[in-house]
Amino acid sequence: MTRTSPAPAVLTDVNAGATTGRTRIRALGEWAGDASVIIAVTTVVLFLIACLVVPEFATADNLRALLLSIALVGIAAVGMSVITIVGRLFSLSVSATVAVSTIIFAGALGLGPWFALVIAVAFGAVAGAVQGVLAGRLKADPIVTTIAGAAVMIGIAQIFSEGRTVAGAGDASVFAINIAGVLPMQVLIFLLVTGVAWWIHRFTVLGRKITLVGLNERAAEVSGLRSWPLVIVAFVASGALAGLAGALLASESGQGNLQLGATFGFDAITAVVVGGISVKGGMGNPLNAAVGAFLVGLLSNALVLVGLTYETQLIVKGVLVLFAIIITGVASQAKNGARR
Amino acid sequence: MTISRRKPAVAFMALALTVGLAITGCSSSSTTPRASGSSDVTGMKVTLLTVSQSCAYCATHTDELKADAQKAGVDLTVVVNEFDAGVQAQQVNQVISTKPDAVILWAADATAILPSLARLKSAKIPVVLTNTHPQTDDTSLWTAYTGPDDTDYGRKAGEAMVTALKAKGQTSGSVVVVTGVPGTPGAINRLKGFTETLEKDAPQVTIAGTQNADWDQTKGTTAAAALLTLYGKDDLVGIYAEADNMLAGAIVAADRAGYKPGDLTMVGSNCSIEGYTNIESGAQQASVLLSPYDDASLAWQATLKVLQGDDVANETFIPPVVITNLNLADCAAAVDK
Repeated sequence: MTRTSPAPAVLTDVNAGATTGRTRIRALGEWAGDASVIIAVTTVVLFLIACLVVPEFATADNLRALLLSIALVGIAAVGMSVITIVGRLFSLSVSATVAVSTIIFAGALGLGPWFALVIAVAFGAVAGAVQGVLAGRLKADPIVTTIAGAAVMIGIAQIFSEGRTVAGAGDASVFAINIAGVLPMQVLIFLLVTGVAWWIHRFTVLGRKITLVGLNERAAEVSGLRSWPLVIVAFVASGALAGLAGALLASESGQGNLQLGATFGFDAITAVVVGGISVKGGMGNPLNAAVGAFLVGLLSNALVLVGLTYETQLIVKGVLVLFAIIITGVASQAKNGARR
Repeated sequence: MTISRRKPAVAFMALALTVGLAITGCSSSSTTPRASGSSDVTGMKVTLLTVSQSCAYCATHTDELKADAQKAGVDLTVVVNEFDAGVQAQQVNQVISTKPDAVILWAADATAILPSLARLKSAKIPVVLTNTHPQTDDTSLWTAYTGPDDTDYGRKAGEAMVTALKAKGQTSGSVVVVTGVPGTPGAINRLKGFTETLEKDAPQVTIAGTQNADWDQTKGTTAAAALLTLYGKDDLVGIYAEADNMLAGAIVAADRAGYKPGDLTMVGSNCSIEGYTNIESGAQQASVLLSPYDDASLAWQATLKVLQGDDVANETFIPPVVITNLNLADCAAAVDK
C-alpha cells in the first residue's frame, strides 16, 4: 500500500481546512446542544430581559440582594454537584449539616469568628466523610445513607442543644462586610468556592477521575481506578461546603438552631438539576450548579418584583425545573445517539 | 434453591405471626377508668402528639409538659411528626389503638387534622388541643383548646406598630408584612388582626405589600429584601413579621439595604430568642409575647381537669402581651434568660 501520487499541496490544505471547519462546526453543535450551555444562555437572556423589563431589578441594591440571596444556597449546591457528578445522585443530609453547623458556629463563636467557621467546616467534612465511606466503600445507597445521616446528626444535635436556639457569644460581623465597599463577603466566598471547584473539576486529575467514575464506574474500575476514594472525596466536599454555608448563615444573626437552613437541601438539589447537571452522573460541572442557583434566585427575585402572586411564582418555578429536566434529558439522549 | 423457594413462605409466616401478636398481644393494654371528680391522676396515660423537637419553642413546650406530667405521676408518651400532617394522621390511628386516658395534640396542619379529630371523638378519647386552633367552627371535635388567638396576636402587633410610629412622630406612611406559610390560620389571622388595627388606629399608615417567608429566617431575609426593593424608596416606615425569627431575617435585609437600626419600625411576634436579642440591641422595637411555658401550662391545666373528670372550657386563649425594651424582662423567662 504505497502512496503512488501524493496529493497536491494546495488540495491537501483545502481538505485539511474543510475537515477542521467540519470539526469546529460539529464541536460548536455539540457545545450548543449541551444542556448546561442551554441553561447558561437561558439565564443570561432572562437576566437581560429582567434588566430591561422588570422595574427596580437593575438597581445596585437589588442586584446585591439577589446575589446575597443565592450565595449560601449556591455554596451548598456546588458541594452537592460533586456528589451528583460522581454518580451518587444527591445528598439528603445537606439541610441537617447546615442546621447543625449553625449551632456549632454559634457555640464556638466566643473563640473567634474564623475559628468557629473552621470548626463548622470541619464538622461538615467529617459528617460527609462518614457518609462517603458508607456510600463509597460499602456501596450503600446514597439516598438512604444520607437520610440516615441526617437523622443521626439532628438527633445528636437535639440532645446537646435540647432543640433550643444557641446564641453566639462573639461578634461575627466580619462575614457581613462589603469588599471594596461593593462586594459582600458571602458573595465573594461563593464566587471563590465556585471558581476553585470548577478549576479542580476541569483541570486536575482528581476532577477527571470524578467525572470518569460518574460516567461509567465499572469501566473506571476495570481500567484500574478505584471509585470509592473518589466518592468519599465528593461527600467530604459536599459536607464541608454545607458546613461553610451553615457557618455563614449563623453569622448573619450570631445564632444557630436546627431549623436554620431547612430548605437548603431542596434548594441545592433544584440548583443542580436546573443547572443542567445529569443526575446519572459524569455530565456537568460545579459551575453549572452555581448557574442553576443564580437562575432560580433570579426568577424568584424578578417574579416578586413583577408582582406575581405566590401561587403563580410556584407554577413558574415548577415549569422551570421541568424545562431543565427535559433539556438535560434531550441533550443526554442526543449525545448518546451521536456516540452510537 | 430450597431455601430461596421457602423464603416467601418464611416471610409470610413471620408477617402472620407479627400481625397475630399485634392483634392479640397489643390489644391487652387496658384503659384506666377515669375517676370522676377524683384529683388522683397517678398512673394515668396521656399521649402528646406534637410537631417537632427541632424548633426551640416546640422543644420547650414538650419539656414543660413532660415536667408537669412527671410531677403529677402521669405516664406521658411523646410522639413527634416533624410537621408532617400525613404522619400525624397515622400516629392518631396508632394512639387510638392504645386507648390513652387523654391526648394532647398540636396539629401539624389546621385543616388536615379534622378527620383525625373525628376519629378520636368516635373512640371517645378526650382531646386537648394545644397551640394551633383547627380550621373549623365545629368545636365539638375536641374537649379543650388552649393556645393563642392569632387574630388577637395580629391586633396587638398592630397596636405595637402604631404606638412605636407615633412615638417617632410618624402618623402616615406605609409598612410591609412578612408572613408565615400561605393559607395557614396563623399567617392569615395575624395579618387580618394587624390590618384591622392599622385601619382603625392609623388609617394613614397603609400596608404596601406582603411576602411570605414560611416561618423561615433565611426566607425572611429574601422576602424582606424584595419588599425593600419594591417599596423602600417610597414612604416606608416599618416592617411587621408574623414571627421574630422571620423579622431577624428582615433586619439582616434592611441592614444590607443600608437602613440603620431605628430607621424602620420593626415589629415581630412570639418574643422568641431572636426577638429578645434584637429588642435588647435596639434593632427591633416590639414583639408580642407567646411563651412556650404559658402555652404548655394552659394545656396541662386543661388536661388535668379532663383526667380528673372536671368541667373544662372548650377554648382558652393565651392573653397576648406587647413586649418592648421597657418590659423586656417579661419575656426573659420565655427565652430562658
